[in-house]
Amino acid sequence: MHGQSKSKTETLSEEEIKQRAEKGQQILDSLHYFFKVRKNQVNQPEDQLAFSELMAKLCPEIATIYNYRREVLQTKFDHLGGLLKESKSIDAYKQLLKLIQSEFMLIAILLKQHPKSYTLWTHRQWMVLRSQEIDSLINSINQDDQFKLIEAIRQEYELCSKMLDRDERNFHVWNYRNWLSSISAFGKEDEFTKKKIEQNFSNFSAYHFRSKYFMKNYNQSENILERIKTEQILGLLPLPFNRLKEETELIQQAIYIQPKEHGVYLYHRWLAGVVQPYGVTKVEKVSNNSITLSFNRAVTNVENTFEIFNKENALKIINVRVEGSNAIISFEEQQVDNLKIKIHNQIYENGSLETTMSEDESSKFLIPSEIDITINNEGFTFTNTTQKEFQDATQEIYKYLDENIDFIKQVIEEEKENRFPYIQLLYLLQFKLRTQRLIDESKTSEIIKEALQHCQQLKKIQNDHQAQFLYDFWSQF
Amino acid sequence: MFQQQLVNHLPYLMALDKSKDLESIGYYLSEHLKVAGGYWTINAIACLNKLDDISEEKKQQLSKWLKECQNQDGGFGGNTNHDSHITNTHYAILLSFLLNCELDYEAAAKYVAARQRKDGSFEGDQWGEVDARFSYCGLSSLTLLNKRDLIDVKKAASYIKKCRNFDGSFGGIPDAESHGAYVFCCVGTLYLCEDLSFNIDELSMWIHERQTSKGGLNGRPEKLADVCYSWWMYSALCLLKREQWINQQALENYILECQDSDGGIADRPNNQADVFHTFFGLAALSLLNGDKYQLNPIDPAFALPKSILKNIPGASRFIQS
Ligand SMILES: [Zn+2]
Repeated sequence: MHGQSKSKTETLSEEEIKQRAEKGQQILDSLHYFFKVRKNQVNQPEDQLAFSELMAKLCPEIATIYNYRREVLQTKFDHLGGLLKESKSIDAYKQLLKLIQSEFMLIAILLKQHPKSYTLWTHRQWMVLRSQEIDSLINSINQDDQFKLIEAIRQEYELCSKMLDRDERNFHVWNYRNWLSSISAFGKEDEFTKKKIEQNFSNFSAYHFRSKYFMKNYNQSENILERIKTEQILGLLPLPFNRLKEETELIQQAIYIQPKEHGVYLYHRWLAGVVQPYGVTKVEKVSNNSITLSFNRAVTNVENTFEIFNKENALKIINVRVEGSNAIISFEEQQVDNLKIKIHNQIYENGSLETTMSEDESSKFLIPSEIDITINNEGFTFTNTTQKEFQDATQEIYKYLDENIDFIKQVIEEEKENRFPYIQLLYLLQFKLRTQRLIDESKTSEIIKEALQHCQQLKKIQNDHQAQFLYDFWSQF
Repeated sequence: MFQQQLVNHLPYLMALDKSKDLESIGYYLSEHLKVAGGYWTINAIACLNKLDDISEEKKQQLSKWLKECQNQDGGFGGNTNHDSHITNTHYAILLSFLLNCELDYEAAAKYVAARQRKDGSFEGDQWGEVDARFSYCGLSSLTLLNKRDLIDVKKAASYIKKCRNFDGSFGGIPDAESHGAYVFCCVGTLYLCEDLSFNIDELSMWIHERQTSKGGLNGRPEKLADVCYSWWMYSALCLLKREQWINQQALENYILECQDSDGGIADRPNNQADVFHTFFGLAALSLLNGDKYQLNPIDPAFALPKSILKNIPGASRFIQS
């Protein structure tokens, strides 16, 4: 239904039309018979697998045929598996192996013709899971087996590579490959995605799965705790800071080559924004039963972050309410004098990685600090103390953002009529603004002024809703 | 040929059944897509306000056949004799409302609800394929049947949020690349779950970039435009009240350009028209400029005419004014 040009179907000769109708009738007749078999209205064919293979080749997209086939296969697997368990039958073992191999072969042939068939990819996944089961059965019986699941899975990766050579964006293949990585030892996804990107800088699928690879690899790596201890927020990056910079160079190259494509900017934006320190910038309000703290960005996941002391006594926090970039902490009513607020990030304190896996990415970059509030006649004053390591990390990120901003400005020089680099620049300035707020709140107005100028420029190129949205966004400050 | 007006699609749609298409092998190979095909065809006719042109006899015949597609397990196959699947069960329910025929809804609802898994996701059938399409089928079906209490709506939403990517859009399963068709499934599901707490601005930015220089929308970065994405994404923009994030006029023109002067709409200009793109093209037009073309507005959440939805108790509160 997709991508069929009209002229092609109109040039059929009478003869061809007749042939097609005959082939069509053959399909319908065969299906009719298949359904009788499926419902046991006729005897099962002697070779059910050969029968359903014929059917699958005739109608490769019909799920019911594969459902039938899976039932037949499962019965055979159960039977042969039983024999193997009871009597270590070499014959049963060989038959199992043959069944698995020929099934993978059949699916591969069908996939070649129908590379985007959900039905076929589901069937293949089912087969991988069955071979996993059979593999563990063989292992429990015979240590020096000949069936090598690892080998089989390696072949699956090769199949994916071949299919991606034919269509580098086929998401079925990418998803299958990604799924393989989740059930088996990792494929070489770092090298593979990089290779695909170098083959074609426009392959967004490769960028997408590269980012997923970095995230997963990070969450599974053993030295995360060590990295967090020594590098704090930079340790939370999905890849070490120097690698992040290398990766940024790669995508900068891609942007130079393909400055008019959306995908390259998306990946660049992910890299540039992947760490954004998050913390308190100001104490807004203090009363006898609540404190309002301002953060450098919208507040999320701060419920278990605060400890408050009135003089030396710990206060009981009643609740924490969030309003945009403010957190309002209410506590039991009392006379307050000098308050101390401790901001905790469980990741650094307990090395608890739960938080790093959370859906909300920004909260993991929370910077721990201690805020001292002195109440006096005119109101209150406060100091916010952050450990030097965190200040240094924030500066590093700031510098990294600035380098990227300079890069995008160079792109704009060459691409004055292209909206993409302008939009990218506005994203980067937003990241910079957030970081700037943590370093020195008084210097944010320059960033805002600059962004507004770029918004004006963008509106000249593209006078539409998106440009207006960005303009409104920056005007609110 | 370039079209600036709406072609009369009715003869094309009415003839689909008599199958001038019989000449193509595709017709036979789509034997398992008959319930879906019926839904696209009848819904397209409904969108043209011509449901009454289908004879009572024909409607009865279709209703009888549809009932025969329901299996013992309560689910529907894509045609008689085919195994049940959540997508076909969903299509059958939609088609039954278009034909105004009663099915065994009780059993269908049970089948659909049984497809929800512990993590909130939905499987297509007992063989365990999981996909955001199935979440959408689940939520839409059970809302239409007023049986949402059979599933965990909160968990359904939380699974969909796991399908969201750094680019602000949605893929079909967690980790999958963002894709225009899944914008419809995921936003639709979240809308029906009454939980739109995700970054809508980021998604709007992404959808904005899907509009190509020819006006049509593509499904992913650096891919070609295709009429069906007009529906998959413009419907989502309607649900999120962000219609202006794309150039509506340019999209409208693109859909018109994909029309066949003999009737029917193709994925791209000068390609072969098919019922799938005809329906989604018309449905998108009904949202973009329905009054101009005298189209019956198709609801962006359920993909059924609003006029029919009004009378469905479970759905009425989800209809946008
Ligand atoms: Zn399409």
